[in-house]
Amino acid sequence: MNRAPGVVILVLLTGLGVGATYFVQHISAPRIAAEQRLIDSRNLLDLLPPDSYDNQPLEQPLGLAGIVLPSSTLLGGYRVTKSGQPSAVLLRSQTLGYEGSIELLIAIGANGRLLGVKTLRQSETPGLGGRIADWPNAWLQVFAGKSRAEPGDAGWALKKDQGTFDQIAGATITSRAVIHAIHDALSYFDEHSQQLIGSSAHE
Amino acid sequence: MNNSSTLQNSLMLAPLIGATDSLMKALGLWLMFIVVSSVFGLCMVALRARLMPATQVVAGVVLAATLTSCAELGVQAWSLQWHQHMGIYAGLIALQCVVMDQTGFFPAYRP
Repeated sequence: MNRAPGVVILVLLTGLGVGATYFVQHISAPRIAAEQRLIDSRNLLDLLPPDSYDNQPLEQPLGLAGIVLPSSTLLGGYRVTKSGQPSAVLLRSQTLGYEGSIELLIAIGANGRLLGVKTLRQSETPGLGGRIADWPNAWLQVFAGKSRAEPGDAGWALKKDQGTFDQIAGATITSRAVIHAIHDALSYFDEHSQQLIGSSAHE
Repeated sequence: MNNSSTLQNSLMLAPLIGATDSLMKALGLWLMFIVVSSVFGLCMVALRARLMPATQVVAGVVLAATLTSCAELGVQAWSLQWHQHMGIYAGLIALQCVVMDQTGFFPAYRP
């Protein structure tokens, strides 16, 4: 029969193709995963000063998940250590902005002071609220060095809400959401500093 | 130019959209294209003698898919950032190989 050898060759070719692809994928998967982790850490960890840590924070999750705070939810956290001593905590916080949910990465030092805030995901108005996604970000930089006590709990709000922070021009709701999410994260850190970094937050 | 060759030409040109952003992407796509299409051409020359025309199309598709997948995995393992820049356009090389095969780009084997 004329068609049989053709079909056999086709089936053989398919089998060979699937096998070869599986084999290549199996061999290269660990390498690709390691490279992906490296890219992720470079993207996310540039909000920490480079000489303040020597571990892989993204591979040391704190096991927090779905913790509901007054205006945000904590999706996860990572511990940052230097020479075995915890030096900071990274908290992933999700809050509701103007157009959708905003996901922030909030870095808090061991002394309870903010090291930096970075936007991981947002769908705010481009050019207005969407400016929280710029990096480096002049508006988010204002929060660096602040803590829960400075300004106090009442100071963590927009100036038009009797607080101390300016909003991004034209993006009041987005700014308010971000400020409350940061305040929630700082409060959570203060209340749980024992379990997050194993010591009291205030030096 | 009749309709079918216009379609074939436009299918060939789709990855050009992906390649024209930056030199790195263009070089990457070009390199992958050269490697994949050479290997594909050699294999098809060998296979065409043994297959009927109807099976040739299917065999071409399977072969192109395998070679493109392996090439993509190879590029990912070599430099993940480079591959992420190229995005979906690397996969279209499989389509280009099949189109080239159907339009007779690869020479038939003459012993």
